[in-house]
Amino acid sequence: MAAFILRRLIQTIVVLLIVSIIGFLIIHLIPGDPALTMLGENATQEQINALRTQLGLDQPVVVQYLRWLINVLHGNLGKSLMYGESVTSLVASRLPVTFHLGIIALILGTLISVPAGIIAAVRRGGVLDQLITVSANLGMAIPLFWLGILGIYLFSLKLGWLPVQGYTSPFDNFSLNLKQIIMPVICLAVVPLASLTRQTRSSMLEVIRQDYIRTARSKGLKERVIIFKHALRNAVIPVVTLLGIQVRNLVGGSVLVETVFNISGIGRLMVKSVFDKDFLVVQGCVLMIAFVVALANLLVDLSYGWLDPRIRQEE
Amino acid sequence: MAEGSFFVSGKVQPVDLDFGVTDEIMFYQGGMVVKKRGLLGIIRFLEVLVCCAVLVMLAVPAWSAQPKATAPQNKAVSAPQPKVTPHYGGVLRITHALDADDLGDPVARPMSSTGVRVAYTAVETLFRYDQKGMPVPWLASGVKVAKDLSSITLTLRKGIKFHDGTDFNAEAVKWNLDRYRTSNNPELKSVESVEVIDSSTVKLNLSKWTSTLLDNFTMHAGMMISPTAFQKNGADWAKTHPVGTGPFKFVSWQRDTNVKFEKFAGYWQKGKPYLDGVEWTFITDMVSRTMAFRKGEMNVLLIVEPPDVKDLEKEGKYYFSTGGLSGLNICVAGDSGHADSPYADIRVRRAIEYAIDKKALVDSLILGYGKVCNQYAYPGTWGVNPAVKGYPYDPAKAKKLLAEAGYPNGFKTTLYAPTWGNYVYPPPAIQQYLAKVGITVEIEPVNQGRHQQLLRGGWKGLMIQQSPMILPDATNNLAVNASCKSYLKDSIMCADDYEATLAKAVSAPNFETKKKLTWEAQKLFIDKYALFQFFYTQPRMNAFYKNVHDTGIGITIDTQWTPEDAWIDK
Repeated sequence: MAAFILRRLIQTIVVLLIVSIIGFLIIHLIPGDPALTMLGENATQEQINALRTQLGLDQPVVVQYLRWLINVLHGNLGKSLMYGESVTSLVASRLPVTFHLGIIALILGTLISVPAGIIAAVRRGGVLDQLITVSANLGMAIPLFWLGILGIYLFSLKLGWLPVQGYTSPFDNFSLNLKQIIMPVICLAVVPLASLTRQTRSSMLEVIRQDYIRTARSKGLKERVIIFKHALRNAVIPVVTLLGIQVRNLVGGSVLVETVFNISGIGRLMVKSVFDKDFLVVQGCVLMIAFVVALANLLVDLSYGWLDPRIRQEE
Repeated sequence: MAEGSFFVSGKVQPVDLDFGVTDEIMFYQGGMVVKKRGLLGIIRFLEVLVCCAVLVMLAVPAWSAQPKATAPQNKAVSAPQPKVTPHYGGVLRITHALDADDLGDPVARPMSSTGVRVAYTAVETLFRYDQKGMPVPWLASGVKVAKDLSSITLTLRKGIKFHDGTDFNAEAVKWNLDRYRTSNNPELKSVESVEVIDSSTVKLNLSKWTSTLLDNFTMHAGMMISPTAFQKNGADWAKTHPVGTGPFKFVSWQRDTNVKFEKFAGYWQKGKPYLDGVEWTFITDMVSRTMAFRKGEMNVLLIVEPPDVKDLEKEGKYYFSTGGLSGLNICVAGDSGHADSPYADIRVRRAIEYAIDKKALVDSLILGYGKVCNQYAYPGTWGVNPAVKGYPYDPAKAKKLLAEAGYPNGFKTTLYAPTWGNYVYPPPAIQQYLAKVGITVEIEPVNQGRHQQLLRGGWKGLMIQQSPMILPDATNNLAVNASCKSYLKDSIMCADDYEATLAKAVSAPNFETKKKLTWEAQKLFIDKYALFQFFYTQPRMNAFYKNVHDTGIGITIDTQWTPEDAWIDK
């Protein structure tokens, strides 16, 4: 197991390196000059040149990347061009907010989707199955920003139950935080919920058709035991795989949700930094997100061994 | 899986072998058949629950869509004039799309117009604009210009303190002005030195007189911050901690979220401010921002789009300000500075003007909330020269001019179209109008970075100009944004008489001369050379709840307001 984890960690480092190179190149391909953005349209060419030199923007991209990489290896993600703060502190201040929403959304999505998928599979062809399947398809198709705006219109503007926007730390004001995160969390949870429901249903259908389930039934096992002990455990592996992928999707979703609900998380920071060409912040965000996704996938891989002893034995 | 796990102890009644559902599982208990609600019973219960939830979800929108009492219509787009005594208390909540980039150090660029506006809550300027667009003393109490134009003497208000308890005096003004004039910022380059005459008088010795100098004291160059706070805490701290003489003290700034200010008890105007605090909230998404305002989470909504103004008017709960002396000027410019460009020919530039129905653009693109314009000055400001004729809509004349210029069948051109803000609407309309006179326009969307690069590095074709008119000083606007000696030098032709007249206006000894020369420059710029093609001006519209009074927002310039006078009805 230790060798497996070590191998995966090395792979993760390689992935992070590749992601950082691609991220660096993409942000440098976007037209625009950060020095010009910082100084404004009335700046003289001398001022712009001086700032470019000061920021190292006059160097070739490869040199800029290597400088950045060396700094990263020394634990320094650089300083934001626009915020004037260290990227580490910026990311550290925004990441918990995104995590807070994302983790709750993921838990919520999982808690609802797995039972819903099981119900749909067990009641295949019935009204409930149709309802769950249609809802899941709708959840997959619905644009997040539209859902968010619709939610604001209904629950904030018309019914007045929830605030339109904002994020307060739960440590500062728990009840306000709860009200503020209900809609963003629901919006974030929709896609994982829908896709996990579909996956659970499909996996369960596959498993419960197998002979050993038939045998279990013929031997008079309780249906609860058959479903939860024998079928679900085999059906859950693809679901767990999808769960790992959902971490990545949650990051994508957070960009929209944080914008609509005015939440200062990592998604909004990244979008703003892309527009400002604040490339050190973009790089910091990309690196952090890639790390979290890689970590999530590592945990998913490790969970396979726990879920299925055969995989453990192969390892 | 272990084989044994398929078995349970005791007697078991077999269930149906087909995969599917069983409503109830029957168990033998003590020789009796007992029907027990099992997993499938739970499923049925969940079915009912889900069906109920769906019904509720379907019902809620229908319920909420029930007609309500109709609010009185408010078509007026103006601020109410309160006759009553201002109330004390309350926090004014203002929402804006963009966060500030710097709040406390006007010297450190960038300090965007948003930064200035937010900082204005705590930091005051030496001068402010009056409602006619003229700079009038604010922290200064008087100004005297030497007859030979070699110096300006400012007298300062006495008894004013910064939020850190230190005195606002001549030394503080000198420190602020010295920092500014020795920085990279261009506004005070003509100030050679600053002398302290006494505790409330400073003298600015000039290397060269410029007629736009006093206007600069209404913005960055005139913002006075505490030298003591800056020196004690450093430049980085100062950027995020405004310590001025304003009616409100800085409390906190959560980047991209909000800035909070609280009442400054030691404000120099006795009895003011009326509010307990001011809170700026930054909401990027326009729909969310408008809904937060409509829900009452905000008292003031800054920069409202015309369709939203139309919607808000229907609710009758708000009033609007139209941006006062600041707004957006929608115009294009061809690369007249390139000899091989069609736009090097004055007839082509004029043809573009004649080809476009500007009134139709105002009516359709900004729903009538704006004005057709024919020059580089915001309606209502002194810079508007009524003698400028401009170019009324006349497509036949446009075609004739194009033919005379050697383009009887038109030509192909690129229109660089900004992808943000209100600049996104005109390009398709321009494309259609120009197609009618034979000019084929290919629209190339450009982001802010690319737009800046093209403006500075030169472009080929037509370019939507970024022409916000924040200051009502037409001389400054022309010199900075419409001159071949500005950042447009690689694209715009140099019209010698226009540039010379503009230069004279910049160094005019008094306002009357400045105005006369600026008017001449406007006429040359448009009627003689048609260097830019002007379409319309769009006001910066702001919405307020009717219980909000005297904010001064949208009365003078975009960045200036009167936090000391603002109050909220109980």
